[in-house]
Order: sequence, then structure tokens, then C-alpha cells
Amino acid sequence: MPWNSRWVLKNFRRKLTRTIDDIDEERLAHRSSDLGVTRISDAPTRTPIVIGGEIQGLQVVPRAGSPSLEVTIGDGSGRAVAVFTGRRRLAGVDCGRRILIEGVGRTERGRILVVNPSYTIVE
Amino acid sequence: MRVVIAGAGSVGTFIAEDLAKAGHEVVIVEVDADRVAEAERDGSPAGVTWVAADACEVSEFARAGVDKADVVAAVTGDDEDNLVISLLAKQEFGVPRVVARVNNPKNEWMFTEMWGVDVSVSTPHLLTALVEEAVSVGSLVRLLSFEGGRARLSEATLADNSPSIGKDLAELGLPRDSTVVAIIRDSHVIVPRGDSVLRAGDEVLVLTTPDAEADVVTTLLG
Repeated sequence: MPWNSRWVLKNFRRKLTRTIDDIDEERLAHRSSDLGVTRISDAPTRTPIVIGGEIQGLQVVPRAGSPSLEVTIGDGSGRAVAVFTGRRRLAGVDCGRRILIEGVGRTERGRILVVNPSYTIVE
Repeated sequence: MRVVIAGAGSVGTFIAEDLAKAGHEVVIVEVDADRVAEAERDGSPAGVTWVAADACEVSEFARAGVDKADVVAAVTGDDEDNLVISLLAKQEFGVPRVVARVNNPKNEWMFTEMWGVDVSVSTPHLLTALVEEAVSVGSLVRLLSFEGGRARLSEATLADNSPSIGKDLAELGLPRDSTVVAIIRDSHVIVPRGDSVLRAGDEVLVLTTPDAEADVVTTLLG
């Protein structure tokens, strides 16, 4: 078999066997590539950071008896959670939007968590 | 471990001294510059770094190296200040463990995760618990609570007619969300096992969730 048809087959196989997560991560990475901020997987904890990505989920969670809004964002490299205490919703913060968040992160259950960050809605 | 203590009152100074002796790196933040100058002149407590700054102000608090601290203890004599310091430590510096002192028990409900507090210590409540512990036989006394109240350490002194007397811990059938952590008998601490048998007069220390507490009381004390 000539070399390049082997390559075509390999590529074809890869396309067939990719999971939805892989495809979604690739799409997110592409969509977040122009934000020009630290990738979530590279973001250090306990220093001020700016990270950005697509809002993948909104959840109102009771924390110590009062509601707080947890916004999950992803940029293809990982996921981060922004927690807004005492809020049920924030105008303009909806799933699918792109957002920049700025604050100090810490690790909680294997993900980066930023409490009450300042945020910019990109689109 | 690097510990930052806010407030150099008697509580703050004492904790600092204790922790420094145990070999930890301790920094005290105190707003009163005269107090800091005096302490630095006396060199007491030994091995403690002093910073004259207002811990309620982010930029000043940062000078104490809070961003590298493993623990922050907010132990000023003012509950408002303690809350602000806790919130800043958690939110602006991502400190893993924040301990705060409650001065007025009426304010204790606010010392939660919402304000960045991991553990709150209320001296008046502790005192009530200890006084209760001394006078009550046959009832459950709450000594401490952890994890924002999700776990409690309670103590029960078994009366002569308690239903648990003469039984071992395995057959007692305590609720799943509770465990006996120690039995104190004639001022000796017994590490509990499944075959430890309870006697009248035993002080039983139980770790329990609030939901399981009622069942623990019925099982141990009737």
C-alpha cells in the first residue's frame, strides 16, 4: 500500500473513532484561540489570573445556606468554575456565550475555582 | 507551614507563640504600629515576624505574604474585621484554610463559607459546652462542630440506667453516620473497638452528623 493512502486511512480511522468530547474540545480550543489569555490547564492557582472560554453550564448551588451561581467555562484545555456568591443569575451570562474572568483561583475537586471574579462578556 | 495571624491581641500573640514553638513560620499582622514597634523591640514572641498593616485592606494585607500562607487566622476582637479578613484571604489570596474567631455568639451564623470561613471558633459557645459537660450526666453535650456544622463532636456521660450499659459497641448498632471516637473511663482514655463494653459513668465521645444525632442519643442514653 502506498504511503499516502495509509495516511488517508489512518486519518479516516481517527475521524471515525473520535469521541464527542474530543470533537467538542477541538471546537472549544478553536473558538477560544483568539482570546489571548492563559489556557485553563496552564493557569496557576493563588495568583491573579485572566482566563476565558465558552460558558458550558450554569448552576445555582446552595453554599452555606444561601444561593450562589456556579458558571463552568471551558476553553478546550480544561474547565474552570466561577462562583458568584449570593446570586441566582447574572444578566448576559448564559450558556454558549464567551466570557473572560479575572480573579484568584484555587483548586477544588480537581478543577480551578474562582470566587467572585470580575468578568467580561466577549460575545 | 506558613501561618498568617491577623490581630495581635492576647489571643493572636498566644497562638503565634505556640505555633512558632511548634516550628511553623508565623507572621502577625497588626494595625497598631506602636504595638508592632514595641513587640519588635522586645523580640517577643520569639521567631515571629511582625507586619504593621491593616489586614482589612487588600494591598496592605498582601504585604504579609498571604498569597503563600497555608492558614490564615482572623482573631481580632472585632467580628466585622474578622469576617472581612476571612473573605479577603479566601477570595483574593485563595488561602486553603481560614480560621476565624467569633467574639459575639450572636454573629456566629455569619461565619460560614459565604464569608470564606472554613472553621469558626466561638469562645462563649465553647465555655457553655464545657460547663454543660461538667454538670450533665445522661445527656448529649456538643463540644465542637466541623465542616460548617456537618459533623459534630459530642460527649455523653452514661447514667446508671442508660440502655447501652453492658453492651459492646458492635451490638449497640449506632447509626451509620456516627462513630464512637473515644471512651473515657476513670480518667483513662480507651480507644474504642467493636468489642469494647460500655459501663455506667463512662464518658463517650461521638463523632456524628446532625441528622444522626437523635438516633445516637436514643441508642446511648435512651
